[in-house]
Amino acid sequence: MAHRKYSLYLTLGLIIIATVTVIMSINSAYSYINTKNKIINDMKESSRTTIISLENNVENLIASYAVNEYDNLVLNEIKRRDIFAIVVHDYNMGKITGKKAYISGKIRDSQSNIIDYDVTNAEQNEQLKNCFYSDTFNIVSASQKKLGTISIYISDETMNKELGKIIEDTLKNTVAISLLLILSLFLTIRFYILKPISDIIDVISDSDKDGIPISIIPDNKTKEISTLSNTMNNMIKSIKASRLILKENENKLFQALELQTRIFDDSGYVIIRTDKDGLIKQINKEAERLLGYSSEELIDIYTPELIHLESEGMRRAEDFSKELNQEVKPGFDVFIAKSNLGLTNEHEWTYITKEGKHIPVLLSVTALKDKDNEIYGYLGIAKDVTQRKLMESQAKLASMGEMIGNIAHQWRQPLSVISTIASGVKVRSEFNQLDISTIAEDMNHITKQTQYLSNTIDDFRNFIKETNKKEKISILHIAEKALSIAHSSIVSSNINVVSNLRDDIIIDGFQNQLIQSIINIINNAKDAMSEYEKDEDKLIFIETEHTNTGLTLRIKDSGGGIKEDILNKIFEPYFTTKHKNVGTGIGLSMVYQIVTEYHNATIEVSNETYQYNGKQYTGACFQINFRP
Amino acid sequence: MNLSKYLFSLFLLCILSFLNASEVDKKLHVNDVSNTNQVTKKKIAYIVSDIRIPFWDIMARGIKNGTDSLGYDFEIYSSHNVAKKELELTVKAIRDKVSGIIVSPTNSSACVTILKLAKSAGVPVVISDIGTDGGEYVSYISSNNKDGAYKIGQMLAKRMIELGWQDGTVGIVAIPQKRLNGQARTAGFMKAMDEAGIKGADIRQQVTWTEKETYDHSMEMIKNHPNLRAIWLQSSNRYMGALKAIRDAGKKDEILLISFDAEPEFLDLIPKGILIGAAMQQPYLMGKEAVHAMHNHLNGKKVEKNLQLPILAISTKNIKEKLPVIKMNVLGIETK
Repeated sequence: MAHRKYSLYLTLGLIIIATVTVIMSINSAYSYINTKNKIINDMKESSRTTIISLENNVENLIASYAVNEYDNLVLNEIKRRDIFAIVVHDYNMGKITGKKAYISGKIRDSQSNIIDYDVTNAEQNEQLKNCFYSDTFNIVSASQKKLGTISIYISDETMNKELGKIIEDTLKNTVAISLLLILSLFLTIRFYILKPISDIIDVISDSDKDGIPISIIPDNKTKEISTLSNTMNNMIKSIKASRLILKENENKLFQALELQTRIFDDSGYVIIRTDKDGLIKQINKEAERLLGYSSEELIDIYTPELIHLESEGMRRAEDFSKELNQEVKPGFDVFIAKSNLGLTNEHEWTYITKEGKHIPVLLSVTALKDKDNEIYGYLGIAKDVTQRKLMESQAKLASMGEMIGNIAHQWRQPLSVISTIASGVKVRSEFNQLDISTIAEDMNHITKQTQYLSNTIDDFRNFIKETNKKEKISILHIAEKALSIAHSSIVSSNINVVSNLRDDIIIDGFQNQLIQSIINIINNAKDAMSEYEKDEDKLIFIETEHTNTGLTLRIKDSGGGIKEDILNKIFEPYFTTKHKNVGTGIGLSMVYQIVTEYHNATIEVSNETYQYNGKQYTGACFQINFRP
Repeated sequence: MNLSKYLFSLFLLCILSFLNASEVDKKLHVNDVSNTNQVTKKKIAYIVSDIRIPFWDIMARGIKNGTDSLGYDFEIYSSHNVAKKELELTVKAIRDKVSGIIVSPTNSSACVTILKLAKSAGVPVVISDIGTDGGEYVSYISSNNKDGAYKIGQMLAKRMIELGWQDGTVGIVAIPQKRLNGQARTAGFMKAMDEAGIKGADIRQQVTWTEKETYDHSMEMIKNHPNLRAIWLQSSNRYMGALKAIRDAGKKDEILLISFDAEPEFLDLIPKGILIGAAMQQPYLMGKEAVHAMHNHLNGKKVEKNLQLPILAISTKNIKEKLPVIKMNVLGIETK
């Protein structure tokens, strides 16, 4: 049952009225009782004072038979004080009149007039008997002879009248004061409390469609109401600001949601979200398109295992188990093992479409965590790398072509030496000038050259050998190896190589990829300087240097630099400044991919102008920053 | 046997005594009856402060003259100026079943009690001189004290001016000023003095009413006031004390003596100039008028509540002329 609510005005009003009434009533009652007691005490005091006043004089007058004199004294006393009656028993006069006492006195009649007391008047005697207070005193002579008595009678009529008047006055005053008090209290409370509250309510009631007050609550003179007003105003401002922020955030959220949706669906990446157990919960349009499945066919039904090669999964499980030094089971676990450990989890996988087509993808798996940092799902973002693979193959083929070219360069001279020595032996043989010692020496030369040729073959074989395993590699060694492979090509191009390879770092990486990358940069430099007439102007500087973050490999040429407007495009695939028959535009993009994606390094290119041997040169400077 | 006789005798004696008492009572009653059967002679009591004072004595004679002529019995009850006695006499008069009381009280305050006692007994009262402070009475016979004193004051002033003594002062030997008549006398006299521009020297009240007292008062005033030229006695009865004081002070021809009320000797002293004058009340007349008032009241006639009788201002110049009146009304000398 809902409690009925009463107005504060009514409640406070009733409380004030009740309180004031009770207090004033108690006060009045207390005042009445006090006054009554005071009056009674005053009466008794008056009686005593009267007696004291009369005693001596009446004694003398009784003794001198001056009846009228003490009668006058009695009259004066009654007049002076609020006494009902004074009765004198005069024993002296009594003896004269033949009675025990001559009784005289004064008494007040019904109109409060003072008349003679008549001892035979029954009404007067009754009045005396019923008097409120009476007291009798002996009149004694100096010789202790009793001359008579004086009796004082005090009526409560006056007291009652006075009390009645007091009651009336008190009642009037009580009512007046109560009304005044109630009014003033009520007005004060209304002015200082209720009105401000009412104003606050009015302001609060005037609100917009969201229930937020439109106006601010006016300030108040009193500290507490002012504090309340200010606090509420701050609250309203805060709410308004919050709503504004909320609206903005809503817009931002909408935009973010819109962006997320666009990114999710139109990023060109296959995005699959699962719950923490691997059950697919969401796929984007690209996933539908690439894989051939609709959302409804996958969501809440399958895990990503459906679209992966089982054999590949098993293989990776073994590899990850070794790498992570813990058991990684084949199945969904193999996709999330690294993510669970907070490690970078980006690998090439093979998706199987609905039609059974295999598509190579670069898959990055991230654990989704809630605000308590608990994993609630996984997000797999995969990029179709078919094209890139093709590019890699093309680059590989291109590099293989270059490598063959380099090898051809490298083989030319040794083959030329072998041919020269063999020709010499033949000629000497024809002229029967063969000498065993010179033949042995010649054979040594030939053996050295063949060894060199064999090493070159090994290099080539190693280079074309594919590996998906990273190994500990030395950057210094990589640089040296690349220089070695490109040596003949460099020499044949009359390029001066200034090498300052002193600092080193060991990283996990693919040796051949890095060698390929360095050779690619050297070849680009070589191509840039191919038109130079003076060989002394063809310079390639290669150096390593330790940094705070790791090691920097710097390859600088004197090829004049790269145009500023294309400087930021040179790592783009298929971007080339060479003729299409000469340049594929894949090389540097491969270098970029190899360095950044596979080796967790950065590559920068800039134009540099420098002095060398007293001459100023300008060229491109490729800087690769390795991290340990 | 003897005892029986004795007891029988005693019994008889008692019976006889009882019978006798009854007889006496009967007799009294008879007497009463006989008195009742006869026309009962009413009695008027005169309660007076002190019959020894000539004034009151003259008044009493006036009353008696009145009661005799009207057929009342009359009895004087003199208090000798004692308040207790005055009250006792009042009670006695009441018990004596007087028909009326004429009272010249010791003072106006005591008169109130007398009136009260009389009223409670249903006895009417006529007040003759002095007055009362309250109470019920039939009539109040008084002298016009103020007028009388005024006249005597004029007389004195005239004489002092004649003698060229207007710069002198006048001393007063007064009756108790608590008395209304005392106050009236003083007021009247001082009015005359003021009109004449003659200053008062002193006023001394009589308390003991003795000659010595009057002598002492007079002598002190003479000594204290060298320019005292006259002494006025508000009461005449102790005039000798004043005369002696003047004589003893050697101021016989330097201080005038004048009186209120009169003594029989004044008939001789005034003509001789030993007293230059006296304001003479007419006590005899007052007594008679008091009886007339009582008589009228007892017969249901209208009575004047306050009757002021004139005071005779007697000087050496008119004493001869007023002599008959003085003798009768002032001195109560009845001529047969």
